[in-house]
Amino acid sequence: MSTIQRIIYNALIGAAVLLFPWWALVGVLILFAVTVRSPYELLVWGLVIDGLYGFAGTRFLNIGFFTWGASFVLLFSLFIKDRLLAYNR
Amino acid sequence: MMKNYHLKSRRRQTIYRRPTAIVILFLLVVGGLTFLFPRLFPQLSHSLGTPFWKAKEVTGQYLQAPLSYFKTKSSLERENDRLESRVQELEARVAITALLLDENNALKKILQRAENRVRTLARVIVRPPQSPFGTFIVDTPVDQGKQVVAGDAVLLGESVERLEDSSIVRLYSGSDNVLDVVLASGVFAEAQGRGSGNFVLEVPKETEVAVGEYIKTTTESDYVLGVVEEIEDNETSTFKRVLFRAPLNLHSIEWVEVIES
Repeated sequence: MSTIQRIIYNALIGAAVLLFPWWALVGVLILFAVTVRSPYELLVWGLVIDGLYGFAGTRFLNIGFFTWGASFVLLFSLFIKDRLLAYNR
Repeated sequence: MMKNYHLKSRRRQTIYRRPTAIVILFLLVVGGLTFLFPRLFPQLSHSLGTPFWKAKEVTGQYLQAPLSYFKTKSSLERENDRLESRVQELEARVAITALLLDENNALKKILQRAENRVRTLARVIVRPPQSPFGTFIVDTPVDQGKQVVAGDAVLLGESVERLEDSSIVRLYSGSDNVLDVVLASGVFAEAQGRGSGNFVLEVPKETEVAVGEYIKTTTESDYVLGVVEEIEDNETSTFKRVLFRAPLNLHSIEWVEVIES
């Protein structure tokens, strides 16, 4: 994936964070995690979403729900991609 | 062969260590910063997001009118019919409400419990389903714990986060919220939030409940929490399941009022 494509993807996520329903946003984030090789931006987006919509009740160990979710999705996607032949071409 | 396998396995192990270390380091930094400065990330995010949301609210008003030209004639007719019957129904209710309100105010004066609450108007800039966790974002800083009402008498939720130019309001209908409520018959019960303005509660089978009756919280007798929509009465159960919801469309609320005192 080229840098331009990556930038477009991140712009789409930015728009989804600010304008889309939360379930559409989750869909875009999962699509990003699946299609992009090293989707480390997920961590930052998780932090932004928690900053925008989260409150004390949605944090565990001072870390928001979406930041935890993004961390697990990132690690899981890297783990899966390493084992799938389609990503190792 | 054996040697190759070991090399690959070792390579994989080092590959996983790096992202895991990055994620753990990231979480430690975020957790530490949130512990030291709890409002740092919310304030940063909101200072970026609030101008976008305000712009969206303003442009949305101007965009709605041109988009209505694209509706079909039959759909507009159907909507018109539906709204006309709804208006008639509400006019009948308003007539009774006005009478009851006068009587209520007169009784409060006699009992020296006149309404002396100060309310502040706030514009809703983010509403469900855009916001996860069943929250609203309003464009006014509201102290934590202050209650928010809409449409004069519908209790919606309370402020959970006060920021510089905005606040996060958590709906009472949030999915893990439990509230003490009182039915029109005077029976007390525990209602569980189900998201998007919906609640559910269980009462003994012999309790009188009717569709359309109002449900209030035990702490706020002046405000309505919801209206009974459905009653599930199972023959084998000793309880009735009452489903009720806020009498407003939470997805289209534009203004709310904050009860200041």
